[in-house]
This record gives sequence, C-alpha cells and structure tokens, in this order.
Amino acid sequence: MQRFLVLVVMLISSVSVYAQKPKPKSDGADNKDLSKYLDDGRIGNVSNLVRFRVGRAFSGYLGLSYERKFSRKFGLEGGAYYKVFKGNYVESESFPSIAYEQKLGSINGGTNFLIYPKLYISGKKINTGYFYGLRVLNFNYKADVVNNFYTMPNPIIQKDVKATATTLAITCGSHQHIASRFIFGLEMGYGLGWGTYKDLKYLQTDSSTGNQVLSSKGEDTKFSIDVFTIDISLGMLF
Amino acid sequence: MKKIILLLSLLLSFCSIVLNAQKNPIKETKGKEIRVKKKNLAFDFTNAVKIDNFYYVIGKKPRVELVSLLLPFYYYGRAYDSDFVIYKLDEKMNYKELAIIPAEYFDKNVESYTIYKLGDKLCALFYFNNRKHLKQYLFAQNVDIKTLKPDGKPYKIAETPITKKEKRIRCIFSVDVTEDFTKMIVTADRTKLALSRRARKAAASQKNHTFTYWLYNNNFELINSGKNIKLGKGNTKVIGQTFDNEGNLCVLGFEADSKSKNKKSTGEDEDYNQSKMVMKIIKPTGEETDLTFAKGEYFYSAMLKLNPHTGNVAVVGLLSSGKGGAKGIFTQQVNLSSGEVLTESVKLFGKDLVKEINTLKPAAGSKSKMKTEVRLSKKSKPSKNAEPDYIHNLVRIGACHYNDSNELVVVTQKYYTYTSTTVYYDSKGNPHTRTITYYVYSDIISFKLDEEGEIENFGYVFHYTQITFPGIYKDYSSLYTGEKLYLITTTEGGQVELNNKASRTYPFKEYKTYRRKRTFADYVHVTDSELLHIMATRRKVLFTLMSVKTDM
Repeated sequence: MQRFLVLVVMLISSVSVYAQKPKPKSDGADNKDLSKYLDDGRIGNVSNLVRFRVGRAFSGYLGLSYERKFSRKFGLEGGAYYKVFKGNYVESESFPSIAYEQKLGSINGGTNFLIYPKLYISGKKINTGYFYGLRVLNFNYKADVVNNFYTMPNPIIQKDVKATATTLAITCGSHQHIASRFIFGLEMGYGLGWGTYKDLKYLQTDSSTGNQVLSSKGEDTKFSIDVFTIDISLGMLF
Repeated sequence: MKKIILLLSLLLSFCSIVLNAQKNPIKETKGKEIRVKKKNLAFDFTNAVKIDNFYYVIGKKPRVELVSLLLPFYYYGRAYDSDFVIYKLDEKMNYKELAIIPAEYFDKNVESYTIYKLGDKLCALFYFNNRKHLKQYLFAQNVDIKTLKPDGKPYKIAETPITKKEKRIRCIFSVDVTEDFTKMIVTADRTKLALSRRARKAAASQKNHTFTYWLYNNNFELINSGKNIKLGKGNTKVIGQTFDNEGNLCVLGFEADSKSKNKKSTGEDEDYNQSKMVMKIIKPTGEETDLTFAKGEYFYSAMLKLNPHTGNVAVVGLLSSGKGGAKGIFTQQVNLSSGEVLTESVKLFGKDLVKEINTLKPAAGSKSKMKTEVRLSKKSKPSKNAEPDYIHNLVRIGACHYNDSNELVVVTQKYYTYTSTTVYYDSKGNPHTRTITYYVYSDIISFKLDEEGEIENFGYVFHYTQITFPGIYKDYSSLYTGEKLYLITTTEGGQVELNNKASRTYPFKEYKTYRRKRTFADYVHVTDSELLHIMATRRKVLFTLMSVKTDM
C-alpha cells in the first residue's frame, strides 16, 4: 500500500513539474512580439461598424446601418429601415403642410434608405472621433393626408397616398468608445429636402351640389422642406 | 531746432538698442513661423536633439481634436497623446522637414512618451496600458535619421503593474540616456501615479520605497535590471537619478523623519523640510551600495549632478532654517564607480554673507523689477531679527553645474506665495470676496563652491515673476559653458558674474512675443550652451534658438 502511495505522489509531482511553464522574461527573445503585449481583450482599430439609430426608431423605423472606413479620413455609412410603427413623430415636424388645407397625418408604412459619407477629423483607422458628414435619406411611404383645419368633422381626406422624399443634411458629430466593442454616437445637422405626393386629391366644392368632393389635379404634388436633425446611435465594431 | 533734438534723441535710442544688443551674451536665432497642416500640428514638445548641425524637435499631437467647440457638451477634455511629430531644422532655425511617427501597432493605439537620441538613431518611446494583463508596457522604436521613418520592429523594454482602479494612467516610467548616447536607463516608480486619497494613504504607510529599473545598450540589449529595489527604510521620496557612461546608476531620495511632525511646512512648497537623504548606487554587475547622509538636517530642495569627466556625483541641498529661508548649502561628492564618499560638507551662509546679499542693489541700467519682498503673506514675513543668518525665501535649487576644476556652481531661486483678497459688491450691495494665490519666482542667486564645498563667491540677478497657478518649479534656464554662467528667463537673458555683485540681464529682442499666451511656449534643452524656445499656436510653430555668443 505504501509503495502504491509513494508511486502516486511521484506521478503527481512529475505532472505538476511539467505543468509549470517557464515565465517569459521582459528581456527575453519575445520582447519583439508586440501583439501579445497589446492584446488587452479590447477590439483594435477595426473599421467595420453596425449601428442602431435611436432617432430612426423614434420615427417608427426599424433597421440597421453599416459603416466602413475606406481610409483614415473617409467613411461611408449605408442603412435600410422599414416603417414598423404607425406614426408621424418626426416627419410631422419635418414635413409640414402640403397645401393650404392639407397636411401629413400619419405614415402607414414604407421604407427608408440612408447613404451617409463622412469626413473624419482625427484620422484614425477605427470609426471613432469627430466627423463632418452629408446625410442623404430617401423615403418611400404611404401616408394619410389630413385636413389642416381642426374644425372639420372628419380630418382624414385621403388614405395611403404614395409619397417619396429625399433629404440632404450637413452634419457634424462624434463617435466615442463606450466599451471594448461599442460606440456611442451623437450628431446634429441641418439641411433641405424635397419630395412628391403621387395623385394627391384636393377637397373642392361641387358647384352643382354645394358639397365638398375630392378631385385630382392630374399631376404630382411637389413639396420642399427644411430638415433639422439630432440623432443618437449605438454601434458595434467588428 | 526741434527737429535736430528729435533726430538726436532717435539716434541715441537707436545707439542704446544696438549697444544693448551687442552686450547681451545670449544670441537669438529666430526661425520663420512655420505654418503646418492642422493634422500635423503638435501642441506638446518634449525634447530637442542636435545631430550633424541639424535640430530635431520632438512634438506630440493630441488624439482628440479641438473641434469640441462645436459640441461643447460632448468634450472629454484633451485626451492622451498620440503620434509623434518631428520637426527638422537647420542651424538658422529654418524648417527643413516634418515627419510623423504613428503611435499605432497591430491596430491598437499606443501612447507616445518622447524621443531620445540613442546611438546614431532616434529612439521613439511609446507606452500602453494593458487592462487585461494589468500592466503598463514601454516600447521602443528606432527611427532612421535620414528618412525620419520607423526602422525595424519595436521592442518591449519595460513593464510595470497597474491596478483596475486606476483609470487614466500616464507614463509611469522615467527614461534617461547617457551623455555619449550609448545606454538607456528606464526606471518604473509607482509613486509617480496620480492616486486617490485612499491609495495615497496606503502608499504613505508603506515602509519602503521600491522601484524597478532596466539598463539597455543602443541595440536594446539588456545590460542589467533590478526589480523592486528598496530605497530608504522609511517613507522615501525620490529626488532624482543619474548614471554614467559605464551604466552605474545612482538614485537619490529624501527619507522622511517620523519624528519631524513638529517641524511643519512654512509654505505651500512641498519640498519644505524634508529630512535625511538616502542614496542607492547600482553597478552594471548588480552590486548595490546604500548611503545615508545629512542626518538631523532638514532640506527645502536638493538635486543630483554627474560630472561626466570624473564620474563623480554631486548632491547639493538647501538647508532649511525653519524660518522660511535657507541657512546654508549641503554638498556631497560620491564616486559613482566605487561608491566612495569623497567629500561631505555643511556650509552655513553666516550673518556676514547674508548681510552682503541683502544689501545688494540692481546694477546700473538694469530694468529689473524691484517688486521683490514688497507684498508678503503673513506666513513668510522675515523675522524681526536685524541680522538674520538665513536668506529669506531662498528655497529652490534650480540647477547645478560642474566646471573643469571639479568645482560646483549652484543656481538657486527665491520662491514664495502670497494671497490677495479683494472685496467687491454686487448690484444689490452684497459684499463678495475673491482670494487669489500668487506664486512668485523671485531673485536668482548662484553660488560658486570649491572642491571642499566652501562658498567662494556668489552672483545675484534681480528677478520677479508672479503667476496664479503652481505649475512650474522654476521660471528660468541656466547654461554653463566656458567657465561662465548664463541665465535665460522667458523674456531676458545674460551672463551671471560670480563676483559678489548683482549682474544685469538684457531683454530679448522678441521678449514681447515670448510673453504672449500660446498653446505651448517653453524652453527645451538642446546642448550645454543651447536652449530652444518653442512656441506653438493652433496653426503655426515658431522656433528660436538661444545660444551663448562665443565671440564675446
């Protein structure tokens, strides 16, 4: 029994001796391999970023955007969003009255595409730092058009009017690390936009009956808007 | 007649300007203002190196741009330092070339520290805080002088532990290069860290001060290293370190006396009343020698100086009188290679010398401000004793120079603070008080000591600068060349005659420029007889070389 115990102890001790790896010295040959000293579990200067925009979500659009830096200065963001929630939150302010008696009621669904070239000031490889950008948003949506005068008994004049709009805004903002992989973005900008409502009908008084009826102009209704934007975003680097 | 008088006065003033300019022993070589692209502008300058009649000025550019003006609520403050910017200048301070050494390896941003000359190359030093390993690493990268581009792979040359709690960690390492640029010493001293109050308490209760060092040659081959070397037996504060061409390292520290609680500080100066000095000499073989001296004495400040010709190290300290002024000078010379104490002396000024110094008046023609000692706080008022044996407010040693005869020239400065309280009334007639603390950098006194540490004679320069922030230790630079001492302040310069009289200084031609508020404006030592004044704005950089005129 004693011999067996001695044998077991010897076996364990030999295994533990092999398990002890020699510690590398700071003056060792490995002092040229910087990658292991720089490995701190945090993501390095990668240039791909997926971003969730809080401002878009508030407008009822859900979607993601992807940004890639093509150089230390230039980055391009592209995104696609789908209108999930009904509402006119931001748009009602952004897209004001269509005509004297009509305005946008609510957007009942549609898509929204984003193209966003950016010029970074700090010139880092990673998508962080201050930037200037040109935000281009393209809207395709169906909207309810309502009467501008609240005294009317039925405010909705026309449902599901097809509309397209494009906005251009010059922005400035900043992306900052909030954790190893995550980026917090804040930006603001100002710009212009224009769009068209297809086959938008207007209320007109029928001269024979005296009732108000919807009649078409036979052409698209064009409109222009000014855009002011503040957006917060959360992104993940990969 | 009036015209003639006007012409004559103009001529006289012109002549006086020309004469003044000729008398000034400091030559100003002003380059042209360099307009650099904003992305390449450096706002912090750490070093300047002279190689083959070219000057390489090392700057660092911040990683965060100052665009925060657009988003003021989103400004984190100036972040860590980023890439190096090297300005190459010729002897006339003309801009030749600009190079960027990026602070990025393996897609990771590292922080820049400084660039030294090592061998026939420049050596760029970067540090990186690894939060996973809980270590700060120091990397060295060779830079080719001809191309001003990184040469070869970088090396990891030192590492020191950090803790999770420390958020913003600056470089813990200190790096020095020998006079012949063949060796580099790196020391890690954790007391350099900006600690929280609790951490400071814990550090103060630590009985031994420890540091780690690495000694390298110019090929980054490790000659010697030591881990957790103890300095002193109590609460010790490192004053300085030096080493010779053979690689003998010497570290000097103040060891606080636990019984010195009654000797409280007499001013805001943190150097007040430090007790005995401890020195550690470490040879390249690893052999250590511990020395303790000046027991029972208290110091305002002290410094180390290596004599490269003899290998001797001088320790110079200003002895505290306990009354707000130095009573004498302590000197000690130690042979660094043998660790042998050669001389040790405590020389008091005495009443006669103090009286002689106190009765000095500015030299004729000097425009020095005579504001000194006018506005003193209650704390630092001189004693009513008519003949004091100490020099009032003399608390700081700024420089120490060796001459060819192994004699020391010690440059000291009067320094004090005072507070001014003003009462003002708002529109409703309610009184409000505003208290401002002024930090006064006053007269500069130089002492020439003989080999035994006896005060042979002194030189005096009337000087007065007051600022409202306590950021700097001294507001002048001194050069010692050709057995002559020269002094340069931010606006004037001149030779300090060590003849027991007051010497005069001459305002620089560009003194108004130097006084302007800039993003960066400071002097950087280049050689023993040259200082480089660097002034950077957000758009331009201006270099001015201050050198000692050799033809005078």
